[in-house]
Amino acid sequence: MEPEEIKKMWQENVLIEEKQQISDLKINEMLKNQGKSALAKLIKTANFYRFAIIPLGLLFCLLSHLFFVAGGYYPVYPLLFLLICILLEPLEIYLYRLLKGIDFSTMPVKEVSERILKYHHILRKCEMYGIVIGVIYLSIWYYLYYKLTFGSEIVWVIIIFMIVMCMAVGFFVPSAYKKLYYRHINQINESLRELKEFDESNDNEYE
Amino acid sequence: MEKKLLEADFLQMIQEYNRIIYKVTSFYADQNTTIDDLFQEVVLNLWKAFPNYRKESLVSTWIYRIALNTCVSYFRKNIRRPKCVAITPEIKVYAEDNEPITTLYACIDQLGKLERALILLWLEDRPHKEISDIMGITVTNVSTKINRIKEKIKQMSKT
Repeated sequence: MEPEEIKKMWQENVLIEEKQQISDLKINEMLKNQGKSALAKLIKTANFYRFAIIPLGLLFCLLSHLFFVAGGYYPVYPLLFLLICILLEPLEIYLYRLLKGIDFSTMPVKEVSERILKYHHILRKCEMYGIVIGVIYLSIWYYLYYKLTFGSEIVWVIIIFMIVMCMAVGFFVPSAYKKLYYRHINQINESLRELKEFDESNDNEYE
Repeated sequence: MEKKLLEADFLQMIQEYNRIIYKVTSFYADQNTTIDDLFQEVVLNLWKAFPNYRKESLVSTWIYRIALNTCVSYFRKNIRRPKCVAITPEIKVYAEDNEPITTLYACIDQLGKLERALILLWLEDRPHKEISDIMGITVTNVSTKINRIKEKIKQMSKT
């Protein structure tokens, strides 16, 4: 069917043109969820991490001695975690500002789409790398803990276990992550490709 | 008192323009995201922006912009949905036995989010200048993109 015919049919469609009433009660019910829109929730989460990430790192440092009960303590290890938290802080602030700056009523659709996609794209990548680094970090921690507890006899077993774990995680986690969240990541990638095409068309207009 | 007046105005606006919201949300609903979810999201975002609306543009343009922005930015993952108020039994956009429109929706499902926005505004016969303002692309780009999407839909409807 020709698009122009579809357009004519769309505009003639009687049911669309009829004024249909929704009860005011239902709209008031919806308004009770004020502040709970999808964007509002994302902003709240980003805001929370903006303030909480360094205190979480500090808390971890202060409580980490509880996990080295065998004696001996490697303060550099929890401090490394704190350093990662401090380095992530600018990213959290950037993500918060990216979302906070969105105004649906004045911004064009392309710009809103760009910002939201950027946010989700960065977040997914951080999640994935975070899981990989987290497992490696915990594996090393586990090694240090058992080395202190059981002495050198068990060290080689632990080292081999650690290497196998790190390699498995390094290969397994990204592909498992992609498979588990395939639809959602795929949706983000498709939208990014579409946005790139829009940008390229816009650039061609200006050349 | 002022809040009640604002609410009354807002309710009147929603009654006046609910079919716009419904048409936009029906374009973006899928298996994971229902029309009710999106409708509620749009209403919440409209309510948030309503006190600041100074009539710089037509009400319909303003509503299209917010509704499209809401739908284009809605990602369901990691969002705990608030209790959703169902409106679908009360509003129908088209008759289910209307084959060309059903075919259109089947084709729309295969388009990207920005393409859906463009084609919806074209179907609604909005001027290209208005589409360009809402979408944030040049007027020439609007024409080019719409022609490409029309061609795509034509090909899809043949298969």
